[in-house]
Formats: sequence, C-alpha cells, structure tokens
Amino acid sequence: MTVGIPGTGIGGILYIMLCGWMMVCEGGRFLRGSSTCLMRRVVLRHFAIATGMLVSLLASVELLAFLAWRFGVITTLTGNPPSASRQWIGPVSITAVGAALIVIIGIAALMNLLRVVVAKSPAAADARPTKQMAEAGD
Amino acid sequence: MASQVCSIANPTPDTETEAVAVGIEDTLTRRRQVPLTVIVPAYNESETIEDTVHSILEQSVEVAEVIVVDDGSTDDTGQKAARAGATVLRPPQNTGSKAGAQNYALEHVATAFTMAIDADTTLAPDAIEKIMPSFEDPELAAACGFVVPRHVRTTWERGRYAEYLFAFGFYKSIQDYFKHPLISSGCFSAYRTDVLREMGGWPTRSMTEDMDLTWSFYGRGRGVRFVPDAVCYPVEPHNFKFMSKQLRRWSHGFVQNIRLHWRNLIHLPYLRTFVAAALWDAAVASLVYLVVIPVLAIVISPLFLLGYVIDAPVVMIPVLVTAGKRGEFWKALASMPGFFVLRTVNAVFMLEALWSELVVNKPLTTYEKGH
Repeated sequence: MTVGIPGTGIGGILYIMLCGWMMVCEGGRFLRGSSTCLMRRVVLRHFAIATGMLVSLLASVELLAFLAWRFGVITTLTGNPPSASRQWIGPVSITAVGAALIVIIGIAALMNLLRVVVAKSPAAADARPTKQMAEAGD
Repeated sequence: MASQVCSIANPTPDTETEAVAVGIEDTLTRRRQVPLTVIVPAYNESETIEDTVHSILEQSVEVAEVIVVDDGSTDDTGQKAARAGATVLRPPQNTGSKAGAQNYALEHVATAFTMAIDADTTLAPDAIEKIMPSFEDPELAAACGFVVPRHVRTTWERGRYAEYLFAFGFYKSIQDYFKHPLISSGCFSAYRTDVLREMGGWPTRSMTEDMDLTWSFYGRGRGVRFVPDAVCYPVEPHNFKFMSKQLRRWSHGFVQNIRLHWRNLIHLPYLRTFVAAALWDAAVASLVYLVVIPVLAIVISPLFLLGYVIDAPVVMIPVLVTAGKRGEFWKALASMPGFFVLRTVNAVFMLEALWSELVVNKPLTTYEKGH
C-alpha cells in the first residue's frame, strides 16, 4: 500500500532534500571505509533523480509565476499594471519554494520538540488485542 | 543465520563418483530449500489463486509449504488451491479480515520464516531468493519487495502503476537507506516467525495490518528492509467501485495507525518525519486539490487549474527512470494521466478519513476487499 498523496507536496520536497543528505551520509561512510559499491550506486542514482526533480520543480514554479503574470493573475492580485507586475515573478517563485522549506523545517522542529516532551508507549508496539478489545469482540 | 536462511538439503554420498552423480542430479532436479512457509489468505479468489500458488511453487528456491487459508469462500477457491499444490486450511467461520485469516494459518507454521502473499499476487521467479538473504541481519523482523500492478489497462490501474513506480522506485529506497521503510507491504512480505508470534501475529485492530505490524516492529526495536529486486505483481482495482473500497481502507488505516503509534513514532528518527510529511500532505494537499484550487480558479483565474498537474515534470522523472530500468518507459508515460486522476480522487478519501477518524470519531471497522 501507499499512504497520503504522492507527488511534490511537502513530502516530495522532503525526499528530494533527503537525497542530498544521503550523499553526505554515504560520503562519511566512504571515508570510514564502510561504504559499499552497491550502496554508492543507489545513492548516486537517487541523487541524480533528485537533482532532475529539483531542476524541474524550480522550472515549474518559474513557469507558473510567468503564466500568472502573462494571464494577468499577478495584476489582479497586486493591482499593478502588467508592465509593473512582471517584477513579481521572481518574488512569487521564491515565496513558493521558501514556504515549502519553512513547512518542512517546522515539521522537523515540531517532531523533535514532541520527542522531548512525549514519553514512549510500549503498549502501542504490542499488536496483540487488549483485554478490553477482546471483551468487546474486536 | 545465513546457513539457516539458505540451507541446502544435500544427502551425503559414500564415494566421490556418487557425490558427482548426486551433485549433477541435485543441479538438475532439486532447488535450494528455504525454511519458509508462505501464507495466502483467500476469500473468493478462484480466478487468481492458481496463478498465485504456481508462482510460489515455481520459485528459483523451494519453500517448505504453501498454506492457503480458504476464509469462508463461496466459490471453488479451496479446491483450486489444493489442485495447484497448496495445503488448504478452512477456519470454522470467516475470520472477518485478512489479518484474521493469516493468524489462523500462523499456528500451523513450523519454519523459521513466514511469508504473507495476497491471493491475487504473483511473484517474479526469483522473488523469494532475492528477499531471503536480508535475514542474515539478526535484528531484522521483516522484509518486503517491489510491487508492480499485474494489469495496466484501465485509468485506475494506470494511475496505481505510476504511483507504485514513484513510491517504490523513489520514496521507499530512500526510506530503506535510512533503515525505516514506511510499510512492509502486506501483499508480499517475509517475516521471522518467532518475532511475528511474539508480536501476537498480524494485528486486527486497524484497517491496514501491514502498517500496524511494521510500526509495531519498530516500536520493539526490530528492523524492516525493502528489497527492490524482489518483485511481485498484484491485481489492482480496475474500476472506481473497487478502487474506492481500497482507498477508503488505506486512508482510514493510515489515520488509525497514527493514532495508535504516534507516541512511539516520534522517537524514531526519519520515520517520524516521513509520517509527519505524509500526514501534512494528506490534509493540506487534499484541501488544496479539493477546495483551494477550484475556488481560486473560479474567483481569480482558470489558470489555477494548472495546480492539479503543475508538478507533472517533477513526478515523471522518478517514474520514467524506474520504468526505463524495467523496459516500460512508454507504458509509464501513457499511464501518467491516470496518476493525476487517482491522486485527486485519493484526496477525497484522505479528507474523509481524517474527518471520520479524528474529528467525529467514527472509525472504519469493516474490512472490504479492493477487488
């Protein structure tokens, strides 16, 4: 099974970033002598895919911002004439990418905060039905 | 452990000549045996069960036993499975879920390893041979393989095909690199039998027993691996009716498991971020697809409708790279529109699941098959 909405939402951008982190981790392993040829191939392949995805992502955002200007959406939103709205293309695309990064950093920070304040629950890892569930015929 | 996983049942010949003769005979007639029992839960699966059993029995390695649990079928699933060479077990009454049927068979398993395969799933000829060496790691509790839909004809099957190429070809390998695959897929996974029994078998408390079991393993400090070279081919829902049942079950199961496991998940590096990002996308991206984009398209400009497919070039890169490796580039390219249809429909089910499970507290409790 798959979960959630696959694509280039926050999840997609997170995995693109993790491909960069895989390169760093594998570099460390290589220096320590614990990297294998197979693993290096996997990491390089994913890094190449992620680089392609990142370039496509930035190009898509840029294209969207351009279309927004070309079809007068930015003009509608900002109230500026089309000639003056063109300067908004850059800020619109930067804002989109920046917002995604802020959300990812926020999620990671929240998870780390929760890790500190919430204790583990051994019961949750027990897949057996609880007494109450058994009594309820679950 | 390696010798246990890949033990070879060789007789001991008395003379060198006999040894050579037996060796040749072995090569010609015997396959390597693995201490593995394969459990196939089945309810009215007469159309597919024979293919499934044959694909297991014709593997490049020999398994100890194939157990088909005929879970109250009203067709001839049991007879066909028995004819194909499986041991057929029949619970006194329908167990109510896939997990229930699997647990019924688990009591009869006498091998060190157990595999669960769906009754509509066939395996690549070397799938078991590829997946078993993972268990050389003594901490490993489960291993799963790459899933590719067997039929790619309708929009729904095409959408699922592209989705799997994306998820298994890109996401899952990254999750595996960080030692936390999100799920050991229920349609094709192998388990260490003693650990599985220690956990109480497959959990029946959520709609997605595979996710529940995987996260329970992590909670107990055990490992799970993804083996991309071990490939299986399930039959995926071919129309909206069956796809909606599957999507409803999966989305509710996801939310149910977050409720069950969140306290442990946040202590698991990487996995907590994978799950949090998936949950964020399930909620926010769904709202964007179903509310924000239509409203903006009506109020400001139809240009916003591009939002449904604006990431097409980004999604296509991992899909086409993975498909290219399998020699299926054009098939994947033709399937991309289905991906976007399925994703938008998926958003409806995700929002419904979040609403039902978290807001109005009406959990899904009835297990309905996806075909």
